[in-house]
Parts: sequence; C-alpha cells; structure tokens
Amino acid sequence: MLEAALDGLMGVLTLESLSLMCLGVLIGSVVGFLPGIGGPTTLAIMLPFVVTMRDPVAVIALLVGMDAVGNTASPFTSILISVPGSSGSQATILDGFAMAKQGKAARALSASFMASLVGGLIGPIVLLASLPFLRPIVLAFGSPEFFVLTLWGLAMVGVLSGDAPVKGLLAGILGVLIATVGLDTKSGIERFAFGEPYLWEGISLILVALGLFGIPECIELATRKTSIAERQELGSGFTEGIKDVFRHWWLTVRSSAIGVWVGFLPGLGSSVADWFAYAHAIQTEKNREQFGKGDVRGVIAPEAANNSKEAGSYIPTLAFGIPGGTSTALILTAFVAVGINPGPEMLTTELKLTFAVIWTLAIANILAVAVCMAFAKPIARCCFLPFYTIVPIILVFVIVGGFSANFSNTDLLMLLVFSTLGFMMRRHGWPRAPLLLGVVLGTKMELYLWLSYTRFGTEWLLRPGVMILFTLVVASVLFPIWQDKRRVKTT
Amino acid sequence: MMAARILSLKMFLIAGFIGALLIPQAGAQIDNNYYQGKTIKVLVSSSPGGGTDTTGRLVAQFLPKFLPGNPQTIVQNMPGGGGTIANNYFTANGKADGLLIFQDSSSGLGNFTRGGNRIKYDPRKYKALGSVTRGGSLLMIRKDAQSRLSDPKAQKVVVGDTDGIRTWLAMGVYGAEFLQWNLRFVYGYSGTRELSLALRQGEVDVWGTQSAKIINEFLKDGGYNVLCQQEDERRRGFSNVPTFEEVLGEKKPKGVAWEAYNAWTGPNDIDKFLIAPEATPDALVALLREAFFKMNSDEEFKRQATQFFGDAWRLRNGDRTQTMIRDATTVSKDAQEYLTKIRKKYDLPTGEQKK
Repeated sequence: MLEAALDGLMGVLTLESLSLMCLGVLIGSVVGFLPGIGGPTTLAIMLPFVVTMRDPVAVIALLVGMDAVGNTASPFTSILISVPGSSGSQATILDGFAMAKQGKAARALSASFMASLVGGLIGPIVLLASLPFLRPIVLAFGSPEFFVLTLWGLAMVGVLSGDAPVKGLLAGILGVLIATVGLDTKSGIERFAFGEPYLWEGISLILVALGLFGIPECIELATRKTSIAERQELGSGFTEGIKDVFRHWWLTVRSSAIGVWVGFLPGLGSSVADWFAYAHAIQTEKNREQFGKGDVRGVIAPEAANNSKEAGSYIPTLAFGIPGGTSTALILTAFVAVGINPGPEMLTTELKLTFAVIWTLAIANILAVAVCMAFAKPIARCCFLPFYTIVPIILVFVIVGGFSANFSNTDLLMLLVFSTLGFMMRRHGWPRAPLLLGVVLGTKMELYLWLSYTRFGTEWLLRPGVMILFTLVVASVLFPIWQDKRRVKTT
Repeated sequence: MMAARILSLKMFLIAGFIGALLIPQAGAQIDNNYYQGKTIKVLVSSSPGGGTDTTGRLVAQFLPKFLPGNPQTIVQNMPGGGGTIANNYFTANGKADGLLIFQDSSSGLGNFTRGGNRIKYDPRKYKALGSVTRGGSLLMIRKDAQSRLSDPKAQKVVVGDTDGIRTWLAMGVYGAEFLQWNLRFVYGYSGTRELSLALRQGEVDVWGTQSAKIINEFLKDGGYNVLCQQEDERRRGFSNVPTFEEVLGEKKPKGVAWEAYNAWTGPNDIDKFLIAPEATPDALVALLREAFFKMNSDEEFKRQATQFFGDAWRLRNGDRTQTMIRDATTVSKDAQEYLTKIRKKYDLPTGEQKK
C-alpha cells in the first residue's frame, strides 16, 4: 500500500499534473466565488477537452482538483453579501453575514477557510482509512435508510427556527411543498406547474436561496443607508478566525466527519452537508444563544463539512463506479473515457490511481485555501463600502446568479417571487432557513419514502439500520430539549 | 395618417421578407458558414452519467468537427418522467434553426406509445439525425434470488426500474405472464447509478440494461447472472445467454399479445437517437445527418464509444432511424389496449393516469 501511495504522490507531483491541478484549483475557486455557476456546469464544459487526454493521473489532477475546491471560495459571497457562492455554502450565511455586519468579516472568512482546509484534509484521511470497508458501508444504506436520513435533516427545522418553532415548522412545510412543483420524475405527472413548461423541471434551489437571502438584505441595507459592517475596521479578526477553528477543534472534526458521511451516501445530494453540520453544531454545542446572530461556530461547522464532503463522494465513485453526485458523475464519465475503470480494481491493481485522487484532494485544498487567504483581507473591505456602492454590486451577483439557473427570463420572475417572500418573512420574523432546508430535502424525502413503501411495504420500519438511525433522529431532537430543561433547573 | 399606415405595412412586409430570407428554407442551400460562430444546444433527456447522457456528450464533442463552421456545443440535461419532460420541452421550444437538437432514448418512444394526457409530443414528427445502438438489453438477476424466480410460494423477486416503461421491462412482464416468473415491479429509481446500487444492495433483484460495460462489471463482481437478452440473435460477447424468445419456447404468445410485446420492445433497437425539431429545413437536416454519420470515421470517437459502450455499439443513419421511430411508435389499438391491461396487472404506470 505504501508503494501505491508513493506512486500516486509521484504521479500527482509531476510538472504536468501539478500545473493542471493549479489550473483546476483556479477554475474551481473562481466558480465557487461566483454565485449560481455551479461546479457541474464547469466540469461539463471541461469534459470534451479532458477526455482526449491520455494520462489518467493528469485527468485526476485537473478534474478532482477543480471539484475539491468548489466550496472553498464560496464563503466570500455567503459571508460578505449574504449570497451563497455555491449550494454547499447556504448555511454559512446565517452566522457569516451576521458577523460581517458586526465588522467581523475578516474573522469569519479566515475561520471559514481554515475550517475548509481542515475539512478538506480530514476528508481524504477518512477516505484512506475507509478503503478496506468501502463496500460494506456503502451497501448498508438502502432507500429506507436514506428516507430516515432525510427525516433527520427535516427534524433540524426545529433547531433552525430559533424562537419561532411554529413559524419554522410552517416554513419547512412550505419548502417541502415547493420541492414538489414540476413533473413527478417517477411518472411525469404534473404538480403545481399550471401547464407552464418552465415549472416542469421544478424550482431551482439557487433561485430560492438567492431570493430568500440576497434581495432582502439589499433592501435592508438600502433602507438603513449604511455599509454592511457597522464598525469600519478589520481589527485582529483575521488571525482570530484561524485560532477559532483550533479553539473549536472538536466541532471542526465532527462537522468534517458529517461532511464525509453525507458525501459517501450516493443519493443525499450535495446541498445538505452544510445544513446537517450547522444543525449538529446548534444541537450539541454549549451557549448556543448566539447561533444565527454571528457565532463563529456557525461558520466553522458548515465550511468544514462542505469541503470534507467532496472526499466522501469519491468513496462510492471509486468503489462501485456509482457517483455520489452530479459532479462526480461527470468526473466518472471522464475517468471511463481515459481508461480509469472504477470498481474493485481501484482498491487492488489500480490502487495508485485511488491514491492519486486522495493526494489531489489534499493538495488542491491546501492550494485553494492559500489563494483564498491571500485575498481574504482585501475582499473583506467591501463590507465598508457605502450602501450605494455595495447594493448594486450585490444586485448584479444575485441577478446574474439567478439568471444562470436556467438562462431564462422567467428565472428573474421567480427571483422576484422568492425575494418578495424572503423580504416578507424577514420583516415579520419568520425564519427563512427552514424553508430552504425543506426545498433541499423535499424531493429526496418523497422519492425515498415512495421506494421504501413500494419495495418493502411497512416492513422497512423494522430494518435494523432504520431503527438505529431513527433512534439517533429522536435522540438528536430530544437531546437539546433535555439539555435546556436541565440548564433551567440548575439556574 | 393613411400614408403612415401604408408605410408601416410596407415596412412590416419588408421586415417579414428579410426575416423569411434569414430563416433557412426547406430545400434551400445552407450557407457553408451557417454554423460559424454559433452554438448548438444538445438537450439530453436524462441526468448526467448514464448511457443517454454519455451519448449526448459524445455527440456534443464530435458533431461540430463535421459541421461546416465548426460550431460550439453545450449540453443541457433535462431528466424526469422517462424523457417526457425533455420531449415536451423540446416540442414546445424547438425552433427550425438547427441550434437545438435533442438526445433521447427508447424511453421517450415508450412513453409516447403508452400515451396519456401528459404526453405533449409526437416523435414521428421529429427529424431523426441518427442513432447509436449498443445491442439488445440483457436482464440481470442476483444469484441469491434466482431460485425464487420459479417458486410461486417464495418471496417475490423484485424488478427495479426508473419509470416503469423501459423496453427491457417487457421481458420481466411477459416472463411473469407466460412463464409464471415470481416477480414484483418497483419503479421510481432516479437512474442508472441508483439502480446499480440497489441491485448490489439487494434492494432489487433484477435489472436490465443495454450497456455491456455495466453488465460485465457485475459479472466480474460475481453474485449475478444474465437471465436472457432481448435481441432476436444472441449478442456478441453474450453468446451463452439465451434470447427471451428462446426462453419462452413454446409458451411464446401469439397474436395481439406478441404484437404488443414488439410494440413495447421496438424502441429498444433504436436505443439512443438524436433528433431535430419538426420544422427544421431539409437542407439543415441533411447537413446534420451527414455530420452525425461522419463521426463513424473518427478514430477518437470510436475509441471513446468503445470505452463507454463496449464493442457492440454501432451508428445508424438518420433515414433508417426515422423509419424505425415511425415503425416503433405506430401501434394498433388492440395492441395498445393489451399493453395497458398487462401493465395494470403488474402495477406499472399506464397512459391513463390523471393529473
């Protein structure tokens, strides 16, 4: 194994592979920085060029490098202007933007990048450690287990609702309903689409996220007539943010583990890792009153998870040729075209290539974090720009990001609808995060419930995996309540 | 006032005339530079990663090489409803300018044959540009489930599918009907990758695909057998696997039942086909057809296609594909009714679903 590890490293460290990895990291970082342009889109554009290459390690360096850092630069916009750079950085907005408003943008950014680095390194380590157990772990999760996992996600609506649990629950239900819009993918039956072809594909998650958070913040800035940050100084926040990650090292490790976990389960999708980690932080950390109001732990948890998730998604891809998400599906297409055949060989005769993936994931993360750290301070200064400068900039990001959902004028109309909804929710104290989470999980929940029931009837409820996971769900809901009651008792 | 009206009418007519000149007309010559600087969107009726998507991406990569002007191409995936969503979208939005082409699969034809109020397209009206066929479907079964197949008292063997319409599914349904195979059908899986995983997990016991590459991976893993194959003749590389007709033997149905079987499985022969919208001018269709078939002469195309599909793939030209689409989707009323009846019997979606 050591020989394969060294072979993999040597392959990645050749001039050609390293140059391609740098190119991949650069493209991945820029794409992560720009809201709306997802990693899959860029991978799809790169595919025709890549499949003509002959060296599999060079292909790994370019594509895995690009994919690994897709979420590293996305906190820039999530934290600074409340617009998620990628679908994996939605939860970062909740505390990141609040920190920016308090003049702690530099601290939030450096914490997010350091957490990304740690998550990006823990991911490959877990991938490496799990090599012997890859197959049994992946095979243990069927549709019923996936359904309970989506339930677990939805149970987090409670912790994301703050002081308004009923409003949060209703917002979550509305999110699930929004997720049902379009043609049912099982049968093609139209639901809430009113005969409009635009709605057949459902409502884009990016439009919901941009509308709920981007425009309402613009309106608030414009009416307040101030800059984003209330204090006009960066202070010592930058180094503090780095220290924060090590102060909360156990949370960083746990969140990274959650990211790997979500990544390796093919079927949960790429947008849930940050929410799972964020909710886990609220559920398990002490002194959680500040979550949602600018707590750095609310930045560390999602950012560690969304980077480690990338390594996790390579587990089923390499072990079975079953991609963990759209990005890995496209990478798999390129792998097959250049002669890399995922499957048992990747753990035996082709172990060198598996190690090339692991090394690329690690090195690409280090490179991307270095680039982001270098730009963090100057970019953080945009928080001090007056509202008449920053609001148009945010609007451009939001509108371009929204239009890139389907490249249709109707995207802008939908953006307006969700912006109005987001503004009204904000104004009347309705939590917006549960609605977004409902949209993220709604489709998966419905699909896995359908498959569980049609395949197993009601017997699926008695599967050991389901019972264990269900116990964990109940425990994760009840534990914070019990903790609160205990705290009240002691005080 | 009157003069102004006449002037505006004149301008309208001139604009209309110029507009008519700009749109390529049927039978007219296409400028060799027509595609220069333009972008063709290749709409794909599946999610990334499966056979339809791979074919669409191969087309997007190689077709421009053989089109004058070497246009750019982009791929847009529009999965769902077994191709219904993409087909409806293509029919509603496809223009006659050769800038939107559609990579569909046999499922889109199967859904049309099945009918129903959500089908808002007619594949017989499309202009076929060509197709990639990978050989007939093969039906795989987990070894640990095979003994239950012919034991009616045992737990049912589960067949998994995406939308309950795939052409290979006909083997399962007819096997259950005429060979008393002990089967149950579950559909709703998102695509190839989810079904691959479900088969490995044992959540489903039977699954079919045309991809020799996928089948060989399963066979290499052990634990799986190939039950039968859909072609009239045995596929190269699978000569030890009987055809479904051989498996049926004397129990092969006759008359309308077999006509219905052929109607269901007919699109299988067409496999992955590329089409242009109904109104696309003949000259533009000819250009695209020629470019499609010329991909066959490209060594790199052949190498990649073999990597993806195994060595049984071949290209079929647009004319032949057009004829096959028409034949596969022209089904008698009796056969249609039989299909609805037998699909209902096995809890598979029919064309009578209500909104």
